Amino acid sequence: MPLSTSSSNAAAARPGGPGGPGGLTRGTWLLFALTALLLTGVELVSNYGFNHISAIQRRTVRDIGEARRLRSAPPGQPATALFAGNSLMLHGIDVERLQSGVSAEMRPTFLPVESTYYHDFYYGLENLLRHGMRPQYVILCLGPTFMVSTQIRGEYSAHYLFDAQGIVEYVRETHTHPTEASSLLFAHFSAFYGGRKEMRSYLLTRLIPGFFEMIKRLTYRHGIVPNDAELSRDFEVRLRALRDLCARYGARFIYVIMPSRQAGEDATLEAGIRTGVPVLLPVRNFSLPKDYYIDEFHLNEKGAAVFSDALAGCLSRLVRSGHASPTACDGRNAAAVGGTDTSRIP
Amino acid sequence: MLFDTPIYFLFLIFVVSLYWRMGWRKQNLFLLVASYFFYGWWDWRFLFLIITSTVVDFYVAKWISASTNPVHRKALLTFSLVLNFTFLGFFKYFDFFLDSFSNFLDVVGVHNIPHSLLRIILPPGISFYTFQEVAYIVDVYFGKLEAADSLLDYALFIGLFPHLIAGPIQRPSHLLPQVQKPRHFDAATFLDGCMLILSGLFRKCVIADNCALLANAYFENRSSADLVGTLIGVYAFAWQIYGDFSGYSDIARGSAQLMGFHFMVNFRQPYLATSLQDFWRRWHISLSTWLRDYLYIPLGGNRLGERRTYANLMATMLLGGLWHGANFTFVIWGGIHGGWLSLERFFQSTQQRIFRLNSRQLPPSADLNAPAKPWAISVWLQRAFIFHIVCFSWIFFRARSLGDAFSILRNLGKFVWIPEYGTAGLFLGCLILLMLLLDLRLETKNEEYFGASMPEYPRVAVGLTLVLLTVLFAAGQANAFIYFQF
Repeated sequence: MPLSTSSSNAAAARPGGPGGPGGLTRGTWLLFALTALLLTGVELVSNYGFNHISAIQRRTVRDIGEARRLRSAPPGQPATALFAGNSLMLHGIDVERLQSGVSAEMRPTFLPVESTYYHDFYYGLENLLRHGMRPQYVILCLGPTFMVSTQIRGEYSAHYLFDAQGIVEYVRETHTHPTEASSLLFAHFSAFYGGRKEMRSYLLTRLIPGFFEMIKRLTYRHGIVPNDAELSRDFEVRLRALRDLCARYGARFIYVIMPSRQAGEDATLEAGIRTGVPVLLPVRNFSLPKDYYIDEFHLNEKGAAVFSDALAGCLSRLVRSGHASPTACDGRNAAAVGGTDTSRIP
Repeated sequence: MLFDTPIYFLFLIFVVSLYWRMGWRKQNLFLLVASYFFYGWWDWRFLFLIITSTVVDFYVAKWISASTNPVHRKALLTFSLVLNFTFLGFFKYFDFFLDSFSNFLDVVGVHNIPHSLLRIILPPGISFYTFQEVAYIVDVYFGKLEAADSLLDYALFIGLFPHLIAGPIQRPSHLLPQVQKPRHFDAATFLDGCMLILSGLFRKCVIADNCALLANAYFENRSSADLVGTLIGVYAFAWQIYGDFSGYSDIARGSAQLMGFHFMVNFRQPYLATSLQDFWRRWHISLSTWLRDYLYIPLGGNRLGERRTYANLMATMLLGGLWHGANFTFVIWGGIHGGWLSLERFFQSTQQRIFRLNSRQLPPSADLNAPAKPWAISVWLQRAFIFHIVCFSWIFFRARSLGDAFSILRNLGKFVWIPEYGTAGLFLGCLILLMLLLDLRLETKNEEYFGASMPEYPRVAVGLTLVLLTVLFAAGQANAFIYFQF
């Protein structure tokens, strides 16, 4: 099959290689130069432009910046608290309700990052703490399955959440293959590579109406929930790791079980007791009716209102009791322990 | 190192920039070290395997070449074939046989067999380099090729990194002489290499990885178990595997061209085929020609009568299916292709007999491999028909098990419509249209990549467009190339 290489012949062959005299053709140099220019342009747009164009991206970058500026409150003032979580927290917490519910004890700052898991937050928090963030409380709001998952949000997290040291530690901990590890490192330094998936989704959502809903519906995967023994073991290790990380920087760690219509809360509560980490279950999973949810597991406004009130009550009690009980809020026995008695929800 | 990751391009730039500063012998040594580094990047332990089989085959070929005793030569050939296929069989099929045996024992009432004690990890590329080694030994045995004098040259022929993991399977007669002679830098070839890489990246990252979103959603999550969902899933997989493997092949060929090597073409617009015979002249050409020359023809090909021809076709395709992996799904996939190829041959020979009886000339349209009018509606109908035969076989190829494949087939009987199917159809339709237009251009202009016959500056514009499209629409997910698992 003839192709343009058929133009290559002995006469065209030159010594010296691409860098030698009479090496590459002008067209090849032009291709290299314009490709470099294009990639530089894309990098600049990713760094500055995309954060302004995309509302989600704008919010995430703003929240990370605010989290980084968090410092301990002066004595007598409500303690500063970072609430970190994924879309379960984004949809499941009514910010104003929670703020007013805990205003005497805490001044909350929120860091919701969608599609994230335990490792995203462990190394993300480590990065923020290493670089000066000093809240008095770190409150992680995740569903149990996200807490034991081995996944991360990939290159996005590598750029926006992790620092280089965190990437190396993550690679070492999870035995990530060198190819993937190198891509994470590359993404850490390149805004384009870190956020290209989001940019593509943004473009396709605008080009093909309903693209996002289609992907969400068709690629929905029922998570495989490990059994309680496995969950309990993993939870223990991870809760302890997060507790120690926060303690190193003078923060108290609290874990909040988000109502996600998935199992695993018993194992989490037990792991909380064993590790001494306060694990809050303001609303028991499956206790809210389906009309409190947007989809399979994200709460809607009605659900968020119920959950936020319950969480505010739990946090107030926990702080006032001086963290006496690691399970200050066990929704399994709502009326007795103080979680929301969802049997009274209409 | 995956071809679509930054680390590969850093590696490639480093290798190419040093490579052209060296003399020929140093080039070969440097490339061998680089190739082993590339291979060891996956898992350095597998280097022992490839080095052992390379060294053994090199010396066996030399002894075959030096010997005049036919018995001795045959014994050496047998030894090499047994060794190569034992390595391949052990790493590729051991788990399959172990699991099947354990399942059998389970059926007959012997339970709790600790069959998972020995889990064999498949060394990357073993199916590809084994076939290259076998081709070399067989060619030397039959005197079609001189045994290589230098172990370095032979090791580089086997291990050259662009083809090491997933081909194209290089013929010794094609690649070995290129390794044994100095390569000359050619500016036009270099630009073609760059364009092939860009074309491959576009096929892989834009077409294949985006199709993979829908294909994986269907085959992994079974989120839409009905007729429309199945059609979307299967079509998506058909274009995913084509974009993925042809994209990989383009990047491999492009990378090789940057260093002055020419690899054989591996794909020629397979979904424009008008018969399954035609399809196999266009799909994974390096494997199909290997199977033809080293399996089908030695079995007797079409020289031993019609029945034997059908049996040979079937045997070749079944083994071709098994080459992909130890799973009955691949056997069925091969069986569908073998069966249909036999059927085509039967109709072809019947048609020829009828025309011969009537003392008439065959009309051009009767030749399954040469459509008279490429734009005629009948040709498009033939193409669509063959595409669907191939899609049917892909169900078995992609399914996790036979039961899974049959449940997919059952889904074809259920009709459900959800609004998301419209969006998925539009999305997939755009990707398919893009690939189809590209392929039609390649077919009509006889080009290897879009714009290959254009003057230099328009070609650069094509290259930049590919870069832009890849940057904007690459799915950005770590989908390893499908053929890496084989």
